[in-house]
Amino acid sequence: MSNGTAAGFSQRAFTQQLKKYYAVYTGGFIGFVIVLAIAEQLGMPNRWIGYAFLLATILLYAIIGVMSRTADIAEYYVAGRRVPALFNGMATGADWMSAASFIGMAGSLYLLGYDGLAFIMGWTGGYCLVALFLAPYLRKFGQFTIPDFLGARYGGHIPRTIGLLCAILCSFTYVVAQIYGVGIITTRFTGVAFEVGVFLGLAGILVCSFLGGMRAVTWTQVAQYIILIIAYMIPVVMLAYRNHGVPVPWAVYGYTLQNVTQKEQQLAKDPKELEVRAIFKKRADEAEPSG
Amino acid sequence: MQLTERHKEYWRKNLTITVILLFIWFVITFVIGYYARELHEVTILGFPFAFYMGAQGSLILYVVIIGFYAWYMNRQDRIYGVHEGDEQ
Repeated sequence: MSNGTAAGFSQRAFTQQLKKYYAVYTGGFIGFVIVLAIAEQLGMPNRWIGYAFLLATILLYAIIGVMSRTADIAEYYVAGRRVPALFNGMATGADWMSAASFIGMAGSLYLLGYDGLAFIMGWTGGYCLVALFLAPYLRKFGQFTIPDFLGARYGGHIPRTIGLLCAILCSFTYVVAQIYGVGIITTRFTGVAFEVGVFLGLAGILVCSFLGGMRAVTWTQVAQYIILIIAYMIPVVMLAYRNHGVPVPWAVYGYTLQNVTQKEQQLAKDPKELEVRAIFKKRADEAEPSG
Repeated sequence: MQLTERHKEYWRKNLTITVILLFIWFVITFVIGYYARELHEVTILGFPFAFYMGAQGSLILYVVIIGFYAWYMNRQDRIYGVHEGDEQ
């Protein structure tokens, strides 16, 4: 990916090289985890394992970001239009599994139940609309952004502005959750105050994506995807195996939810629980007038 | 560029497949959501049916829709000679 701008580089050779890079990378990551596991056995404190993991991955993304720096407009906005479908899918997948879905989604589902699934369906089903209505035409059109496309297709600045406003509105709601996640992670990593952590994290993102644009973002996202998918799967596979004896969490977590529902109903009738709830209600009532 | 009969045929096929896939998309997204309560009695893998569709089923079908559209249009692109480069 560092010498990706070389002209006359065929797509097939490019894809082969990408596969090689990321295979080595995945091997390196697994090796790193094994080294950490050995270090843990030798008595490395958990805190330092957490720091080592965060530092190594952030460093890695930063290196990819700096290596992918580019001044070419097509490279900057659309990664040269030659990211193989599989890798682009991985990058998009990493976008999906972001701080917003990992932190925000778990909470929303816990709070809203079935209604919360609207978010899951919305931001997955939305890809269908993108695939059917926008992506193929945007690619054939040869410009860079959706407002560009709307401007050329319908003419004038009004459709363009509407597209722009929609993009900003969607990004804003998404970015709020995202930046909150960045703040939490930076705070944990460096120990600075949350407000400072947000800006430190943002500065890091700016450096990485500003230098390389879409090119840097895509290649770091692919790298993140590999780590994310491993990190997401291991705990749920272990839990599924422990609770049901089947290491396929997707097939068994419905039964777990049924158990949880039963336990919840039991808990709601439990006299001790009712007692605790009464105490909290009393406290809340007492706090009411002053607050 | 002058649009030939073949180009129009290609576009018609594109529109047809888009409408069909969009209809399937609409059914799994909104119709099942609308009848969630009525479908509550049916369970699949321990989930009520509508919940299952929201959590897994519809997502799998979305991926199938996108995958099928990409595969189908790549094939049409090649048949009608409007594909790009040496792209697979």
